Amino acid sequence: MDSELVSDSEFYGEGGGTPPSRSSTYTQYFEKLFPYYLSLGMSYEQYWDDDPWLVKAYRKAWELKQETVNQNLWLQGMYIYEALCCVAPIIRAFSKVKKPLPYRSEPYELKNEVSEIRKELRQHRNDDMAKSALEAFALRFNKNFQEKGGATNGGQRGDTGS
Amino acid sequence: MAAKQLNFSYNGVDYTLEFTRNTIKQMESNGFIARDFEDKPMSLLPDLFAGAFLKNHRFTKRALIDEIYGKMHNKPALIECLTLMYNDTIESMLFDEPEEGKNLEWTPNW
Repeated sequence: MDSELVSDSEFYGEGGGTPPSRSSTYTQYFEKLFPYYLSLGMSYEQYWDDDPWLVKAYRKAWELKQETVNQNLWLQGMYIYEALCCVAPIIRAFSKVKKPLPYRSEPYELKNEVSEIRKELRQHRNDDMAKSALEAFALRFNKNFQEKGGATNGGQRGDTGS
Repeated sequence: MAAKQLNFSYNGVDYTLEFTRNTIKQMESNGFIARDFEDKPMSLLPDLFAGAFLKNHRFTKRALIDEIYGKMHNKPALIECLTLMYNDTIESMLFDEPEEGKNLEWTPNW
């Protein structure tokens, strides 16, 4: 007689029952992990209402960020080390060297996976363009050859007499 | 990996069923226990089916949902789909890429 809305319906099972204890629900785990995913940058809506697999992307993004930070710190250490090596000759006691070694004029050339992929893509596109250019050249050449009385693909030349 | 959804039309209305953590929280606060589903899946399937409406069709009446459920074909496959969708909300927080060489491949013979 009364049609209940889904949101108001009771899921207590046959003959009614008590709400499940906290220890038997997944909600408690969702709530425990919620602050962690907030710290990764997820919003409330993304965590609770969006695609469940978004958390995996955020975890991976966090790992990549950590790797980047680690890489940057290591790189900074390299630059500091190099700077110290450049000035080391003049800070030694009784050193006869008056000038420090020149510091590098350019930063290290860094390569990462993304730049490698872009390089491959550029190469692939260049290959395609070269292939298209060659095909266009071949078409033009064949056309000119035909207009001058020749034949293409190993065919017989036009009959010009003996 | 995108969220798993179940799509169908009934009486000219398109329905998209899915689960989110919020809807699972709501189902559990209303008494649904996933663990019981292993012991009596067919008894709790209507509740699981109804829970899948909460995300996109939360104002759909239970009577209509039960009517739709009654007309659903191939209920064992429906159980499988709904449990996969339900489990996604949990597995996404637990599992990353499987490690190479540590999982056995298997194939059924039917």
